[in-house]
Amino acid sequence: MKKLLIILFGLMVYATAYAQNDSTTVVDEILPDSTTLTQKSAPAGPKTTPVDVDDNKPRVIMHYYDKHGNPLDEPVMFLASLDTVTKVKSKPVYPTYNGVNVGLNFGDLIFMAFGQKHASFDVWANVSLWNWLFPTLECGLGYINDTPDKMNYTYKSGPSMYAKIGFNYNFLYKSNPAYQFFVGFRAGFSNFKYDVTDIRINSEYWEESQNLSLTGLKSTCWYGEVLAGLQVKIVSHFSLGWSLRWHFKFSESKDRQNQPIFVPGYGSTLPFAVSVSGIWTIPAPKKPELTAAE
Amino acid sequence: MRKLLYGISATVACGLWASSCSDSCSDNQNALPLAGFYDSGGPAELVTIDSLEVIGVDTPSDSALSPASESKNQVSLPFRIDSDTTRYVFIDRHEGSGLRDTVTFIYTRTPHLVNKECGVSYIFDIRSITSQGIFIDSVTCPNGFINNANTQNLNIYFDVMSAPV
Repeated sequence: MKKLLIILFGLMVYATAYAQNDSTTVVDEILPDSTTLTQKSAPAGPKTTPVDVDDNKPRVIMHYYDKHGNPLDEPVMFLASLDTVTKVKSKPVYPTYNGVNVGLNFGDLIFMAFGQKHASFDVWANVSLWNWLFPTLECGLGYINDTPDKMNYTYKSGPSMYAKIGFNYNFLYKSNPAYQFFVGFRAGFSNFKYDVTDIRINSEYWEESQNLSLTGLKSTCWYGEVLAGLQVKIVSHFSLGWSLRWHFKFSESKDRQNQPIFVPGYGSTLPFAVSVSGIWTIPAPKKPELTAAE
Repeated sequence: MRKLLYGISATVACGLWASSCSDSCSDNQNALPLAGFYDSGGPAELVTIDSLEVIGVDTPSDSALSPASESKNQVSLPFRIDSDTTRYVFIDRHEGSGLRDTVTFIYTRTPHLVNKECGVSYIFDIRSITSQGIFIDSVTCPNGFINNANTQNLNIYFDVMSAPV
């Protein structure tokens, strides 16, 4: 009996062990790669990206106290970045003396080619102060020999001197001195003589005709000019400049009630004049340098 | 360089445009006396005269300056330019009346350049004005001179009772 029990116990242990091995095989046969399948079908988790530390990124500054030194209830982040742009200086950047410009105004030569019968030519000079203000002196000669169409006279005036003094204000005073955009003012003066000849006065009703001349007439004129112009470097120290001038008379003397129709340097009866100049620049002995560190 | 040329061209164009603009003469190109007719005893208003003929004395063609067929309250009286005296005869042609009044202007002539557009004209400085006759009472020149201004510068006062109004 005892042997029988031992044999039965042995059979039971064997049977149990065999059953366990057999079940594992079945599962393996049904789900041969169950572990792999489980890994593929699992839901994807949140992506993670590695972050590099940016040393150049502005550091967030937290403020724990107000400007009076009292503690804040909650810290405040200072968001405004400091303005690193330097304030623009309005002061000129060139030295006080910056050279001399000498010019020849030949603008009327152009207009004479288009039929104008009078001309004023002048030599002028100005001094560059900070490349900003340019005190200017102009001296020249003006003349006229004109017989207006359908008129009864010839107006003549030999070369007569005129002078103008004033200044220019250069808007580009912080830029290259070779280029200027300026406005200016001039006060002009001329004392001159003129003749009105070949005067013909007719009276149809009386059938009379008179030929007259008015000679040796004199006049003195003071006038002003407001101008705007450009000066552009062409080559080396040579530049071209032109200006548009609006002019007006301060005073003008009449001789025997005759009114001159041409004033040297002023022109004829038009309120506007144009000057065109060739300019030679004599720079300051020392090359202009910026006064400021920039 | 291209901008430079543009700038020069624009400037020259502006100048040429400006130089092409010229004013015309707004006044007379000659000093032309203009006489207005008034009633010597009435208000200072122009009166219209009928049948009045105006003729310059010693005109080469002896032609009437203003015919009697036109009613008029003003008349231009051009002065002689090679003499300092000008005479006009005013003839009443009303119903063949033929009454004549003579007005004599004595003046000095001074040529002067008015301006570029109007040119040279005389200024007549009136030295005296006389009238002889019945129906013209008086003649005046309020400014004392006559220039090229386009205005009335002589007043002729008629005795309306005698004039052909």
